[in-house]
Amino acid sequence: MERQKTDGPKTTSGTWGGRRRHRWRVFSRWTFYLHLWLGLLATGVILLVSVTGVLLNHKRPFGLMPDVSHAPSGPFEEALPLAELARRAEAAVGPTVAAAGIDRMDVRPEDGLVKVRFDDRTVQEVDLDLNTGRVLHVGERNDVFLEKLHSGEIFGDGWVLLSDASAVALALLLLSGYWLWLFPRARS
Amino acid sequence: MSAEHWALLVGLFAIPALLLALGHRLRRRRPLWRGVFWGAVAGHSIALMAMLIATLYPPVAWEGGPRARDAAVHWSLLLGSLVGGAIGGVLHPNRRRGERAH
Repeated sequence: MERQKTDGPKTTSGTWGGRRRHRWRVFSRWTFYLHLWLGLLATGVILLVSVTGVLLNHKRPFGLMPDVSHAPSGPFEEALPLAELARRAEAAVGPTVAAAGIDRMDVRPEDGLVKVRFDDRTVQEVDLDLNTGRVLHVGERNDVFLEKLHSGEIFGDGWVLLSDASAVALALLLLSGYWLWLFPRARS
Repeated sequence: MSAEHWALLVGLFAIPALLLALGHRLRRRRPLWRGVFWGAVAGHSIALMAMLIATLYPPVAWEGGPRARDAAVHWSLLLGSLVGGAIGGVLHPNRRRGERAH
């Protein structure tokens, strides 16, 4: 009976300490359910984002993008015009891929090459010498697909929100997981 | 949004939410629902792996590619859990026990 007096002032819903403990219990219970539901709902997306993230980090060793090492064959000032380089790239990939159009041309003066990327389904890329126009490599840019999948963009423009939601979910899972690990008894 | 996008969203979010709700106090549920639950969990897990493989191999866009791959990416989660749930419901524990007793 003496101990009860030292707990704090009595209120209608119990002692101050008791109310605080009750709030922590409620908070911890919510954290547990947040962790449970969010963990299950975000599994698929987090798995997809994680796998594509690892593949993108190691895209060169996995051969998911061409890795052409080249030295300049002449001064940059004497490089062929972009239109001519584009024409040679189109000739290298054939009419089907060329019909999809050029997505972008990435000029690398320090390597003496230009990367011409097409807008087709397989994302073909042609690497050409800037000065001679010689085709150095023709191959797929698989990392473009993986990037779009990683961001959710592959499903449509608004689907990047899915990737954002998975990132927020992961952060909340981390926080709630830490809470449940550090204070396992707060819920009971 | 197309039907296949809806199928993907339902398979990705609605089915796990439904399974979690069904898994609440699972031991108090009828054997039929326990069978459906475990069948759907197994079906969804297998379908998730199948979807991941179909999505990433080969690492090029599936649109315009083989129809089977396109379908596997969008529909496998939904259909996998439905088929798994149906199988689990048919082969639920009581039924198996009953068959053994006969």
